[in-house]
Amino acid sequence: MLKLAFVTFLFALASARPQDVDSNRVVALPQDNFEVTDIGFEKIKAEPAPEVVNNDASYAYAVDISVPTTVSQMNCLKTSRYAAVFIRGFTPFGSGAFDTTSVTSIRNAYSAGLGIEVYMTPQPLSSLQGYQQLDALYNGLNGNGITIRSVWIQVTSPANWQKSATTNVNFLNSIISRAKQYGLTVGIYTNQYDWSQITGNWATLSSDVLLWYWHVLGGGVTGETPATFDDFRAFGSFKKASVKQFAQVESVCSLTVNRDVYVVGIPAAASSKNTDFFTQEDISSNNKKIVVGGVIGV
Amino acid sequence: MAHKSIVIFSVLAVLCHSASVKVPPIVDSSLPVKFSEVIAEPAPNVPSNLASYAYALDIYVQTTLSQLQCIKQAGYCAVFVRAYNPAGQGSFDTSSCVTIQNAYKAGLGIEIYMTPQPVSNKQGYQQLDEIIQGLTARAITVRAIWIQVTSPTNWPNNANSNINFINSIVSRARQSGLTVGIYTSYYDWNQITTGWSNIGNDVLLWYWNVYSGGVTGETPANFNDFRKFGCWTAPSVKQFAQDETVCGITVNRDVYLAGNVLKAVEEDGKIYAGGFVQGSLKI
Repeated sequence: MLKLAFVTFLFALASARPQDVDSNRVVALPQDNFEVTDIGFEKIKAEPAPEVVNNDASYAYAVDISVPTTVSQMNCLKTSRYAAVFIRGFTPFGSGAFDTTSVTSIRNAYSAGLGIEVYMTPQPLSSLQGYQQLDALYNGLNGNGITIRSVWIQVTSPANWQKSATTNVNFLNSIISRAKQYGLTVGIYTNQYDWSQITGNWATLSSDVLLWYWHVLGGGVTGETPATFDDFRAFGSFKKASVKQFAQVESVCSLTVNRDVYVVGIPAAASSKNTDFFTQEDISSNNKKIVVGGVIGV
Repeated sequence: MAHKSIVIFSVLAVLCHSASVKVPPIVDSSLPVKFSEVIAEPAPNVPSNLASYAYALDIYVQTTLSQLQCIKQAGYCAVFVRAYNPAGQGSFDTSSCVTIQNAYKAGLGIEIYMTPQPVSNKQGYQQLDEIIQGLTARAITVRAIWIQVTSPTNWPNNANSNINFINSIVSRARQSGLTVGIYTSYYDWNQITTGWSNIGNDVLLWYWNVYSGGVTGETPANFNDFRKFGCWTAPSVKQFAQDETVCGITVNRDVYLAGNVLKAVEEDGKIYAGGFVQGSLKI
């Protein structure tokens, strides 16, 4: 039975976390000359996440990560009843670049039998256009024997975006169009406030673009919201959600992660049009290609 | 001697009305880009058997006496009135004087908030000075000010600069003997100040949380969803609903702990703006 449950949700977790090292936000440096002395900043330390107790057969749990991982951590995630991982494949650091650590993480997740989705945290202030950033991700994965079927684009943290909503919309359009040219399913990781701030509540995105929304009351275990979609309200062009991130900055299997739920549907549509499935022959001949994405929300 | 019940309303933070505060994007007419708008629907009624929370509205449009009387009838105890308009370089919102005078006549508690302009030529303290001068000139005594720190896209991408700007206002408020509070959310605070945590524990908090604008986007009218952030371990006010209509005007809705509820109208006949929220009145 082919592993159809490659659900890779990339939860571009809100880069609102102060300790998100991938953020290109300006943070106070000791040598900065500021009038306010002794500026203090909150630090959130990741605490262990509650265990997954899933009484509802219609929801499955996932984590999203942007740090390197080991095989044993992935095995641990699987044992901890997470069904999938969202791995960041593109980092906004500098001008934005393919996240090379994603290759190992994807391979580790695959060997652990986890569903895999890929997300990108684009760099809207870069000289690289949207489609060029998508290309870097696409080519980076393909060059490492990983076939990507869907991509999730992080649209959070207004402070990291341009002030002009139109500019941001054009940037996103460039990524989305390119992804569709490659035949990828496209999803957006965002929420109503982010979407309003960054895109001016853009409402004419095509309806085949999926939504992964987030809602927490704060970072850490005390900031979780229920692992359900009850707090979802339609916004922009999004009438429904496929995934929800309900917890941020928690520790699972010694990894700092964010936690997500998604509705388990019938994973038929994506697989039926995909011919890159693993066969026993592929595996035994060591000629396999890892396929990521393409299951959620279809 | 009549028991003075001063309803202390801190007009905190201009509600995160990103749609209303944000400058609309300049749309190239060649683009088929459309932006959805939130249409305000009538708000649910204020419950009649409130245990510990009192209701307020925050508004930034000039409001008539009869509208404010209607608001009082509807069960709201106070209004938070915007006294500073961020458009352009920012300016004192002269229409606030009329609203405040009408609210006073209607017997509502009054707090004022400012939506500052962080990219103005004018420093933070200068913007606050404009408010104090503007209201004092109309015989309105300012006792408290709430500073809106929402909508990251309206702020520079420089946390240090934002902190200094906010601090300029806070310091000036203290110098002027005012109670000061911040209207924000944990996410806004993170985005705009990267989680600045030592603004001073005399600074009050008015936070917001909604699922979306409108009636269907309300969160419960209580503080249960508050989580500590910045230096704040407890809030004074919460905005739980945005973009609704009450008595014919578009408002956001708030709750605060009723606690020591004092009559809005001081017996000395003076109009006071601010100083009503729990812990905010400096005796």
